Amino acid sequence: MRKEIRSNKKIYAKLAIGILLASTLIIWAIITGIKNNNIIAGSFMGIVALTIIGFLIVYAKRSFTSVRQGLPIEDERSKKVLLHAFTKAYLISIYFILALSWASDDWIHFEDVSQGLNISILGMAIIFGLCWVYYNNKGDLDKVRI
Amino acid sequence: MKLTTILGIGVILSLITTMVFFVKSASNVNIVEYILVGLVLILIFVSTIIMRKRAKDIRADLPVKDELTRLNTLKSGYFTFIAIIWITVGLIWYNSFFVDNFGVYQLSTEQALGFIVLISGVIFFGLYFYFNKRPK
Repeated sequence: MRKEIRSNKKIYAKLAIGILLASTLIIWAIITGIKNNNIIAGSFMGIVALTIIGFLIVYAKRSFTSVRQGLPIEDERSKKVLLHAFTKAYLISIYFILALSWASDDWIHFEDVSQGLNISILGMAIIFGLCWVYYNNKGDLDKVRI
Repeated sequence: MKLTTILGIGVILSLITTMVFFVKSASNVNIVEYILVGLVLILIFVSTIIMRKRAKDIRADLPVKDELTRLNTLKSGYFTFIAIIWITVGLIWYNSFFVDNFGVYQLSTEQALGFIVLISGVIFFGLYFYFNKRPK
C-alpha cells in the first residue's frame, strides 16, 4: 500500500511538470500567434504542446495501470529503453543542431539567438519522443547497434 | 585495419589544417571563437586517444566493443543529452539576462549552436572516460 502511494506520488509529480511545460508552451503559442502575429510559429508551438499532452496521457494511463496491477512503474526494460532513446536522441540532435546552424545563415532568419535556441530545445524534445516510441516498440534491445 | 587507421589519421590532420587556416584567415577572432577552436582541438585529441586504443585492441585480437563499453556509451549519451538541454537553457538565459544586465558579449546563433555541438562532444567523451575508469 505504501509502495503504491509512493508510486502514485512519483506519477503525479511527473504529470505536474509535464502539464506546466505544456501550459507554458500553449501560453507562449498564443502570445506568439495572436499578439506577435506570427501564426506559423504559434501553431508549431501549439502542435508541440499537444504532442506533449498526448505523451502525458499515454504515460499516465500506462503508469496507473501498472500501479493498479502491482507492477513497478520502471522495470529493467524501461530503463534500457530510456538509455537507448536518450543516446540515439543525442546523436540525432547533434545533426539537427548542425543543420539548424547551417540553415540559420540563409534559409531561416531567427529574430534573435533565443529563438534559435528555443527551436533547438523543442526539436531535441521531439527527437527524444520519437526515439522513445521507436525503442519502446522494438523487440530485443541487446541486439541494437550503438 | 591499416586503411581505417590511415583514414583516421588523414581526417585528424585535415581537421588540424582547417583549424590553422581558420585562425590565420579570420580577421578578428574573438574569445568565443578561440573557445570553439579549443573545444575542437580537445575533441581531436580525445578521438586520437580512442583511435589508438582501438587499433591496439584490434592488433591484440581483442573485441573493440564489449558489453561494458556498450553500457558506458549508453550512459554517457543519456547524461550528455540531459546536459545539452540544460546548456541550451543556460545559453538562453546568458543571451537574454546576462547580456542585458551585465553587458557581456552576445553570441550569434551560429556561435551558440556550434558551442552546444562542441561542448556536448567534450561532455560525452569526458563521461565515457569517467565511466570506463569507474565501471560501477
